[in-house]
Amino acid sequence: MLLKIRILSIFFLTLFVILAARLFYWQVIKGANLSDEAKNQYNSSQIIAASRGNILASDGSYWVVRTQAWLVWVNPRQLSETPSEVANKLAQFFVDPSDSQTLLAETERLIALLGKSGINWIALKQKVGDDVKRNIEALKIQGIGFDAQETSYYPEASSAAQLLGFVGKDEKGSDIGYFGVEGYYDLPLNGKPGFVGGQKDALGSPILLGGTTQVSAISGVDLETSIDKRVQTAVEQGLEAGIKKYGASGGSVTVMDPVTGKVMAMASLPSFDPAKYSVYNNSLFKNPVISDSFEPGSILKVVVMASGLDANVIHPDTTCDICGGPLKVDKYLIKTWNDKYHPGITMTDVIVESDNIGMSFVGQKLGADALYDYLHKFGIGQKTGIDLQGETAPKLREKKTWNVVDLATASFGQGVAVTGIEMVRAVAAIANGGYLVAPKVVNAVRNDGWEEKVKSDPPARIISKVAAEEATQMMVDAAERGEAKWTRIPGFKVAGKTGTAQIPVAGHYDATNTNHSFIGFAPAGSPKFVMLVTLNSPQSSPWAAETAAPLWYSIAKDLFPYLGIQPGQ
Amino acid sequence: MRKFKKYILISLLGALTFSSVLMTVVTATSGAEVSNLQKEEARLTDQKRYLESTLVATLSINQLQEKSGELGYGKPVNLVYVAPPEAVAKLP
Repeated sequence: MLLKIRILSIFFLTLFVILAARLFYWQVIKGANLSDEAKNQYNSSQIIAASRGNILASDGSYWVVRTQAWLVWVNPRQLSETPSEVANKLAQFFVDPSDSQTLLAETERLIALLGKSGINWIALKQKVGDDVKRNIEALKIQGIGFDAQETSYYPEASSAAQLLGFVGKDEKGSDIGYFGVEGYYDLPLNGKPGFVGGQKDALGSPILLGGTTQVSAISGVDLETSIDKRVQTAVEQGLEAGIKKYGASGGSVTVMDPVTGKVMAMASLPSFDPAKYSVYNNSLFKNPVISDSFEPGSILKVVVMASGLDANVIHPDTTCDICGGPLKVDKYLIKTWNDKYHPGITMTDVIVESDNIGMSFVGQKLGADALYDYLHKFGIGQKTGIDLQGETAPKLREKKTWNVVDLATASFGQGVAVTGIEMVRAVAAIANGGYLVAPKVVNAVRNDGWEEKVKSDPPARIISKVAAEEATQMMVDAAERGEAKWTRIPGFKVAGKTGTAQIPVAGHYDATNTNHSFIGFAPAGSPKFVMLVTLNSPQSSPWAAETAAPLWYSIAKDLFPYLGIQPGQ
Repeated sequence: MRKFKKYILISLLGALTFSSVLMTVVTATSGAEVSNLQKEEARLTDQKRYLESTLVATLSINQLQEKSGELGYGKPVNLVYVAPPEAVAKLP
């Protein structure tokens, strides 16, 4: 009997020890993990995405509006059909079904994704629209699901694409703005995501007794730009027609208010569609007006002339005493564009005739150091600070290193590289009476209930009012009596200058191609816009007076009534 | 007096137990209601965005140009500026 009691005691004691050991294992060794797993079952946390801000035109209408889209995903383990059956059903919604090659490639891509084993979640397609979602839902394919996403909608399609930029993905797969306004203002546009944490029951409903933690998302700000849709449309349509008419490989047009520096329109071709940016070559994303440099040629002459006038080394009626023939500088011979020479030509007529020898005369009067200082004052060789991502600025040759040839060539726009926006800003200083403005694209940022104007530094005076007025009058004379006089619009007082520049290629100039440009402003007395037109390698004529100038006037003809500019102003 | 106190204590305990059960039931129901409201909010937000983008698309300058072209409206080929006539004699 005693033995039986002992055996039972030992049995229960062993059981107790085993139980204690097991409890120690669960409570102490695995306790933390089990506690975490239990919390995971009823605790929920979710990131609240911050909606990206919209981009608006000057009239408050939309350039870019953020809208609802869907990520299509699949759980391959829940599929009741074969991967090829599902792929055949879905591919037609993800690509253009009329393009058989693309459709086949998309089907193969989906089959490869759907055939992956051991994975519970695979993203099939990003940012599909509501209509695609509804069509896929109607197919009732098991295992297919949708997550809400945000996408950008461009009501004006590819209009102003290089100016606006686009929204792509960073290395973590998050949305990020690239190029233009999207890139420059990425941080304020993006906002700040929020967080909500709490407890949920088995059905996913919140357990209010458990308490919740919530940090609200701060949505991105809306940007109101100075880009005027009607001006932008007129500029793009004009540029497209001009490139076709003059056989150019591309071109750009920039329109800016010379007094405030607000950019009204900026267009370049070829361009891209920001809604389908991934199918375009990367080289199309950058904005040539702010990223590409070129030799300005004769359009720089007005800046050099204004510098000479401000420095009082010349006056409009000063006569050139070296203009009777080609000018020998060091071992080089400088000629005029048409090999015609004008002894005793006045400075006004130097601009009208676009006389290279006359400009060399101005350069000599100024001297290399003063010319460098004035070009620097006009912002040549420096970034303008425009609020667009991707601005570059080729530097001027170092001061004190200019020789006589550099001085002579720079005075008529050769051997100096500029960007389009630099030239627009420099000529705007002549148009507005001598102030260097800071070009801006965004007027104001706004969010729910508040708005803040984007401020910029007050413009600095760089030349005297008199010098600016005299240079303006020279440009008016150039527009009325110069080589582009045939294309002017009678009655309108336009100040303008053509530029035909050779293209530097590997240490020498391209013998066959030239870049053409025309820069001008109107009305000359109180300008409402300054516009630069550039055409790359036009084939119809070797002279800007027959390509860029008529294109400038054809666009200006559309702008005059819209901006309230009338003949005689 | 002691018996009266006992009844009060029992009633109080009963009321507290009942209110505790009631509160649990109400919060559980509220959780489901909050969940429904959250879904409805998400649906309305989606709908608002969809309507906004539809409105924006309809008012785009590209679409307006296309529609105006279909209706026969076009850009003026030439603009004629008319100057006001100059007075030839002073009014009395």
